[in-house]
Amino acid sequence: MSRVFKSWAGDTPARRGPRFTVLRDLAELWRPSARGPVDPAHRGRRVPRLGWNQLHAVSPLVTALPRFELEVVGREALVGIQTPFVLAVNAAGTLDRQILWLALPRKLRPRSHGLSRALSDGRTVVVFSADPAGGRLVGEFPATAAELATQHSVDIVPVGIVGSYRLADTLKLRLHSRPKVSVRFGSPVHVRGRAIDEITQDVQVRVESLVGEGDLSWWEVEQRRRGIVAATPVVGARWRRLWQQAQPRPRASRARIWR
Amino acid sequence: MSRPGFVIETDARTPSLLTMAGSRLSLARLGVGTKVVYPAESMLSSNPIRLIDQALEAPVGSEPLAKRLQSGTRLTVVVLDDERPSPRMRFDVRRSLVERVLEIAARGGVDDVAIVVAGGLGKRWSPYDMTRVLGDRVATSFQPDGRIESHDVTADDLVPLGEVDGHTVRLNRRVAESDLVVVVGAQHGHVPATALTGGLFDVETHRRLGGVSATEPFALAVAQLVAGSVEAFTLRAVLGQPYLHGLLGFATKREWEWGIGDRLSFVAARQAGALAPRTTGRLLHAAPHADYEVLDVVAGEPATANAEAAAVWQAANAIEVVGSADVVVIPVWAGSLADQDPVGSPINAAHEALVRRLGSHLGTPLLRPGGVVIAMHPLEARFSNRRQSAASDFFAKVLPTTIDPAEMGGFDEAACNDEWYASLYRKQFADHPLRTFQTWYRVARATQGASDVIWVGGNRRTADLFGHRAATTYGDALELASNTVGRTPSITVLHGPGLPLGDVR
Repeated sequence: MSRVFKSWAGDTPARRGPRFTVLRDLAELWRPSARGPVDPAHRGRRVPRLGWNQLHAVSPLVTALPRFELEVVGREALVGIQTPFVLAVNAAGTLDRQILWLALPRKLRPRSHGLSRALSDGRTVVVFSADPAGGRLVGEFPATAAELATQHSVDIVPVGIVGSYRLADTLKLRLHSRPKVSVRFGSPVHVRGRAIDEITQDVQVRVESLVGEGDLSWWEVEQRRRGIVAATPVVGARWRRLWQQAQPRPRASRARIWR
Repeated sequence: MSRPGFVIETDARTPSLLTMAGSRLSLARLGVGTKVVYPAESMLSSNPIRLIDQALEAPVGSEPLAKRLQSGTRLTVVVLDDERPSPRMRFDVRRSLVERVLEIAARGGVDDVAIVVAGGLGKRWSPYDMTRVLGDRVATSFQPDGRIESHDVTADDLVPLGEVDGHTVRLNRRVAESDLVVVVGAQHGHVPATALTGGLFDVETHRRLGGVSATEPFALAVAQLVAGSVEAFTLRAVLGQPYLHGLLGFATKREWEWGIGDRLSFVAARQAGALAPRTTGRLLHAAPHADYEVLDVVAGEPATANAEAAAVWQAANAIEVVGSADVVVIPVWAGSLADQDPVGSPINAAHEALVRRLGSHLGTPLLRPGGVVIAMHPLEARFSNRRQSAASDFFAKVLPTTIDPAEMGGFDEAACNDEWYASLYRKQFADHPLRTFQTWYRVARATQGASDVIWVGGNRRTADLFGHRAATTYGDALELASNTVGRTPSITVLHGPGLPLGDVR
């Protein structure tokens, strides 16, 4: 005896799925609520903590610069840091601001005026050192960086720019090789509970070691950091500073310690 | 160590030999018994840094450079550009020399350093020339601050050094006011350079030094005056013979050593030159770059070091030639005559053939008095409007009037006072007009001993303007020469793009 089935319960043809899924998936992924709930404590801040993906979103211009070569070292030091922050950068040449702008992802590009207001708005800001004088590599940092960081409870990121001294003039020449400019990020300086002078001094030392590290061995930099060896001033006349900056690079085959 | 130069006497088994005329290459069968002088073998260049450092540490007749530099020294590096090797250097050794000097100055903490290019009456260097010759590092360190200058013989701020024969000698201001002048140059020729007279004076002094009435005692007195006023240190690299790369690589090899690649290159170069439009064909030879082996680097007290550099070059390049010849044959390869000048102006070609190559001997000339010179060059009257304007006018206005240097005084003076030429020299990197006149004076002096100069394949009008003769082929040239030197002359051919030095005995 066989069962009697409903006459209308026949085989239904398999339903064909949608042919184009991309648009729908994209819409789904970029739906505002898909990014997860926003922590009310961080509602005012656009990027709470930096992740790898944000740091690597560097402008494609950087890889295609025709006139000079931009090397960015130590970007990983920024991973996990709370934004905004204060960048403490050594003043080396007139193009420093533009170089820093190229070396950072769009959202982290710093403001250099209206600093306190910018920090309140969640924007990263930059403070430059004075021009180096008296045979030094890095000029004196003003207390502004430390004061701002203390006032807004944010970190200071030391940055060393090397190779941009008189770059604007150099780029006017018809050179056969591209001059190299290096932007080196150091680990952040935390300011909580520290005096302004102490922070400024710390920033100064760190930027100096970042600027010196390309030319020195790790051990020399470490000794300088610990104050065992005093930094020897190598710059004096302008031509000697440019001469040192244009020093031929070591062979690429040699592994570099600072990479 | 490269193989030295030699002379072969052609016989029935000698292969066809390479001859060059302007931008034309060909293989020619020279008559039996012709002596062909081959320059020393050319070699690839090697890194000269070790040689330079050794020379700077142990200079002749002077303390090492490092000891002569203090932080307060006012240092000027003079780059000599009077005698350029031809074809021009692929890697200019002067760059290494300047870089080593600056490295020592940087280590010594010298603050006040400048570079002066001593080009004499030649064209002043453009910023691009400075980058090309001295390299990126020197250019980036000195150009932005304007610390490289190309000496201007017409400048108003030249400093009077003193008087010689009632004539006031003026010198470049920066050089005259320096505590130490390091003179950097390359030795490619048998004549020792006179320190600093390579071209840092004013126009009038250059006129006296290279004019019709130039005398040896005057030049000597000027050199002594400069030596007494300027503290100088010389650094000279002695160069070997040019080594060509790529498609033209066969030109610096001996014909019987040509491999398959060289033969094919020769065929291709000739075919490309023949098929391509004239201007394109010329570009093949427009600016060949050759490698020069650095034989030695000499440093020290200027007079001693320059003499030693010349002695080294002579020792490396002298070739024993038996007897002065009745006929000397000189192919002129145009690619080497001037920058960006594919064929070479006729005046430069005449200078290359009759002064530079024919005059490359150790006292006894290659050509017997009353002999005939046969040179190979098309002598096309083509001049660059901007760079060779004065030469063009010399060709169109002066030579039709006279070829005698003694009668050119008025033209010479008018050209020096011409505002347009002065402007081209100062702003457009043209040669100073006086250079054309002095080139011609040297050509005229060099041909005094010859009874005739015949240009094979040369433009008849140009040859006539020069007071020379033109022949269509080499055979015709010998026919013309036979009137003077007889039916069985002794013939010497100077082979190749290199510069042989004849030691005639």
